[in-house]
Order: sequence, then C-alpha cells, then structure tokens
Amino acid sequence: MRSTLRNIFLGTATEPAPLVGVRGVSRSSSASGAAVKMAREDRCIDSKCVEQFLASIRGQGSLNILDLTGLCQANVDVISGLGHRIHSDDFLRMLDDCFGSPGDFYENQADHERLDKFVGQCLAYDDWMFDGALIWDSLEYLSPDLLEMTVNHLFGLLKPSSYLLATFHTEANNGMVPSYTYRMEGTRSLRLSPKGERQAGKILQNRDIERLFQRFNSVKFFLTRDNLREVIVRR
Amino acid sequence: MWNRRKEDVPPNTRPSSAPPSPSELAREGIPMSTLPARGFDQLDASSRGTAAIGKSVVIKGNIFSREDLIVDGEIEGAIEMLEHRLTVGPNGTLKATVKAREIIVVGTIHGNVEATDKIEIRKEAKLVGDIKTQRIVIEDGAYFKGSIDIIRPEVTKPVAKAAAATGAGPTINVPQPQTLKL
Repeated sequence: MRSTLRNIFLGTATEPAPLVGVRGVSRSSSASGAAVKMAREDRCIDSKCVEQFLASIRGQGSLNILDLTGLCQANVDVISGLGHRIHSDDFLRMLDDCFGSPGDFYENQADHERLDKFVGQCLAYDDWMFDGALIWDSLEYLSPDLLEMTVNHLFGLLKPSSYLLATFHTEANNGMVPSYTYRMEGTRSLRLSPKGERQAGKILQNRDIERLFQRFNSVKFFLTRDNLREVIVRR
Repeated sequence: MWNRRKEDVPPNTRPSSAPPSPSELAREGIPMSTLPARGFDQLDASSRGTAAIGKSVVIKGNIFSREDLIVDGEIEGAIEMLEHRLTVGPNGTLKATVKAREIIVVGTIHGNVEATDKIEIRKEAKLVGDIKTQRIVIEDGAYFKGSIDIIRPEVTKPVAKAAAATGAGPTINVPQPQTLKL
C-alpha cells in the first residue's frame, strides 16, 4: 500500500503561503510575534481541508467519524448534522495523563509501562471502524517512535478511501507552539480557540509528513499564513 | 500493540432478584430521600419535589423512577426514567446504563446513555460511554470518550395530526371485508 497518488500543493514549506481568508486577526511584523499574539485570541479561518473533508462524507449514510480534539459542540453539530456518528477521544488529555509529570514528557513516551497504559486507553477501536478522522494537531506532540506507531495504528482504524485531516505548525517559538481547540463552523470555516502553548515534538516539514503517511494513498497540503499547515490524507 | 476496546461498563454480576449481602445491606442502609434536593443551587432551581440521592449513598441495582431524580452519590447498575429528568450532581458517580427523557451531567458517568429528549454535559463532567440523544448541549472542558448518535425525531404522519386536531381519540383499525376474485 505504498503511496501512488501523492499530490503536494504549494511546494515546500519555505515558500510564502497564500492568504487563506484569515479574519479578525491583527497582524504583526514578525511571524513569531504574530503566532504569540494569535495564540491568545479565537480566530476563524477559511479551511480548504475542512471543506474537502466534509465533502467526502456528505450525502452518505450513517458514517463513523473520529474526532481527537475532545468534546466540542461545534464539531458534534456539523458531523451529526450530516447524519453521521461522531466518536470523541481527548487525545491530548490522554497524552498528558499517561506521559505527564513526573519526568520529561517526551522521554516518558519511551517508558514501556506508560506506553502500555496509553495504547490500552487511547484509540482502542476495531480495524476499519472509521470513515473519516479529524486528528488536528495531535500528532505534533509525539516522540518519533510513538508518532510512527500512532499513524500506523490510524491506518488500520480507517476504512480504505476514507480521509484523515491533520494540522501541523510550520514553525515554533523556542520549541513551543500554540495549541488549539479546533471547531468546524459551517462547511469551510475553522475556528481556532487557543488552549495555551505546548512543547512540540518536532516541527515536521512537507517531506517528513509525506514520509509519515507513506502507507496512505495520497497527501495534500494546504498552507495558511498563520503558521499552520493543514493536511488531508486519503487512506 | 493497541488493545481492543473493552466494555466500559462492567456487567452486573449479581442478578437484581438475588438477596444483597450483609455488606451491601449496610451500604444501602441510608434511604433515598424524596425531600427537595439541596446542595447545588445552580441545578435545582426548578427541581423542588424531585427525588435526590445524597453524596454518601451507594446503590447497587436498578432504579426505575416516575419523577425527576438528582444523584449526588454512587450508583452501579441501571437507571430508567423515560418520562423524567436525571441530574448527576458534582459528586455523583454512575457506573450504569442510563435512559431518561433529559439528562444533566455535572459528575461522572461510566456507561451508555440514552436521552429521549436532551442531554447537557457541563464543564466539570466526565462521561465515558456512548450517547444517544435528540439534542445535546456541551460545555467546553468536559471529558468525554465515546460516540454520539443524534436521533432525528420521527415525523408524525399528517393523518395522525389531522385526527389529533379534530380531537379524535384512539382509532381502531377494523379490516374491511375483501371481495375475492376467482
């Protein structure tokens, strides 16, 4: 199942990204300054990824959609409005519970006891259970080994031809990235509600993301000007 | 490496008809109060006259209620109150399957939940299980793990509506005699 249709839009991550409908955001001259400022306030962006994801599940019978941002009224409304069942899992809270203090968050991810607890509680679903997955930025806070394991596991959970939506930050400020609750608003808008900052495992570039999803059928990138890269992956 | 999903609610090991053990009797010694609930003012403004299970009460078994119920204690088993509202208070912990008209969760529920009308999940709530409901209200900050299935209300047939409008009572369908063609 090696990737055969890998469509990459907008080239490399270093290219200037087009403005994709940012609203209600005050601009700052420096990118990192803008990131810090944006992280404090809700903002709504036009999202091609959300639009494509929702288009892929629209008009079909009752589907099972996984959402890892935690319980969120907006996402429940949008998914259930399309007649589908939403499965909610608070991935980041689970990560914190399993790998948080004492000790280093990322070093703890190699601890077998903690790892066993994590895989026993998180994403414990049947193979081919989901017709779509909203992963958001969950993958950014994993060590390389756990990241690879998680993506392979997600591959098993998704049905063939289904879509996975993920986001990745394009840059970090001293390793820190803003964390959000991701709320879908309508069919093509995404509201980012800040939840503070987190230490990112690694800032992944397009090539890294391609490699990460190499078992999947295709990967599409959409860059926004607010240091966020949206990715839609076809199983 | 990932384990398969385990059942969220442990099966009720003792049948409801079996006599309780002495230790269970001791735990269930505190009677259920039907006095107006006190303690969480934000919830009980309209709850005077509802039944309440206090925070020091532990119940193992099934509860069928014909009035609204506030649970601030622990319940293990099942709760069914299809015509009424269940409120799980901040100290309430349910390991139970729940069926009610309306459910408000401030405390913890481990088990599948079905609300024929509405479920409200407050920010302090923790809910592990699958939800079936017509409407759902979610506050940010609540912990939830499971699936949400929104049931669309069935559209009543125009004939039934017309009958209701004219004040007609229940109707009995009598089969009409049929002419057989040979």
